[in-house]
Amino acid sequence: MMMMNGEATEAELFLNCADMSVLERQRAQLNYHHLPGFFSNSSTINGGEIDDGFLASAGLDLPEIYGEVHGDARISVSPGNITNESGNSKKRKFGCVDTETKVFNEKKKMMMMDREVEVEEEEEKSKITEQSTKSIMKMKNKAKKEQNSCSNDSSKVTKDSQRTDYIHVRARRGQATDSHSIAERARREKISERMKFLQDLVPGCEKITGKAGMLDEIINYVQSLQRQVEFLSMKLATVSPRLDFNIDDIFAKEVVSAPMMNLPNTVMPPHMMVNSGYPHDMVNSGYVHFNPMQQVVTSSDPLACFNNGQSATMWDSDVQNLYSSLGV
Amino acid sequence: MNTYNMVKQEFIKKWITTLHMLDSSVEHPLNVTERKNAIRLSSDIAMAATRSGATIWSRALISRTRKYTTTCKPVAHRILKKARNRMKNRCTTITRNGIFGAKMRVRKRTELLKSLVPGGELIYDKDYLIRETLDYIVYLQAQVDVMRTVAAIDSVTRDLS
Repeated sequence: MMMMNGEATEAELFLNCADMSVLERQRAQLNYHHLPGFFSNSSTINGGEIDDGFLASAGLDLPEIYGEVHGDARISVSPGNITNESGNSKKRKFGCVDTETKVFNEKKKMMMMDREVEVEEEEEKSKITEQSTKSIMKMKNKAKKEQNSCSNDSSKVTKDSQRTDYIHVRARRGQATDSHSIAERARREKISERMKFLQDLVPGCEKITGKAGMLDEIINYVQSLQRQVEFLSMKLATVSPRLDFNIDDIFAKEVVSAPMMNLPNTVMPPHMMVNSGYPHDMVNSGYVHFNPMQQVVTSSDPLACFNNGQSATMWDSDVQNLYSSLGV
Repeated sequence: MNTYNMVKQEFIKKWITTLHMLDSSVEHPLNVTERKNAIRLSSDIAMAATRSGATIWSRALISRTRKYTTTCKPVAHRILKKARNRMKNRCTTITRNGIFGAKMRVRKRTELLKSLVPGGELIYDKDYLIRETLDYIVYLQAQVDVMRTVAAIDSVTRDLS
């Protein structure tokens, strides 16, 4: 869209040229509303393998904490639009990773600035000072550089040697400029990020405020999960005389792709089944009966569901389908 | 959700391997408690192995289980060695909590959490503890999911055969 290109150019200008007036800056910032998300979903912190990378490899919503502005991002810059050389050099100038500062701290500060920017958008625009916008851009540049370079420790070390080694953080208008209070604010932002993640993870803790409540929820959940593991291993122990189970490869796949924690209540159409990880041949063989069985299983006592003959016959025909489709 | 499935896939592969290892090394018959312990142990090792020692809780779990079994020792050693090469020391800061009122409550709960999460006692930084815990929760969920499904499938197939 032409409009988009115009805005993108403005964004570029904004980033590259520091001499704009406050008014132009504000306009450019407003224009950011229309640009696509700054933080792409595919970025991870430490390279993204399942065996590596802290919390990022657990997948789920964790990239949101570190790199993304949440859902309704009000300010976002498309990485694709800002790729010229001068932009890059400006980014690197503020690259600034303190050798003691960890990656997390950086991103938290960036998140803090982003959040503050969002809040500012709600307030009047005239409150955005020259300084704060400048610092926001610095943060964004730095964050984008992190994203693009897929930072791991080795690359961080090499960059360290080339740059200034402190983070430029400017205070908002009306806020204390004490380094302590800025750090405090960063920590508080961190905590609220964790809270958000916790709310996603643990069912039913939307009304929790404060550290003690959050810790309470976490403790309860961990205890309940550990107790469940204990109980389930006891059940498995009673079920099998030896330490093996009737699982071969076929069922291992089923175990994996059965989303027990949040089940779809209806039978999924085949294309959805492919998307959620079912093996393809199974989908093609018209094997859509499996879901109701899974749904049944998550009720309070899994064993009770298989006492009636109807489930058994359904399972039987499905097993036949499975085996035939896989050529066994 | 796809990475969650991958986690579960890794976990179940490792779990089955560990179970077979344990199964071949102990003498039968085992009573129920011994079986339960073996299942729990193998499941914990598998969960920690899936995390591959990139977190403190996973390594603590592995070293905790090391004293219960000799067969899993080579596996445990391998994982710990890989972890040592890969992970830098992240938790070096010491918190400066004052102990008054609300802070007392938080502190008490933090202590409790430290006792729950494997390796939590070694973490001084509260932020880091919470981060570790959230990671641990994800993997616990995967573990529970898989075990529950296995139990269900297993019981069904036994009914049929």
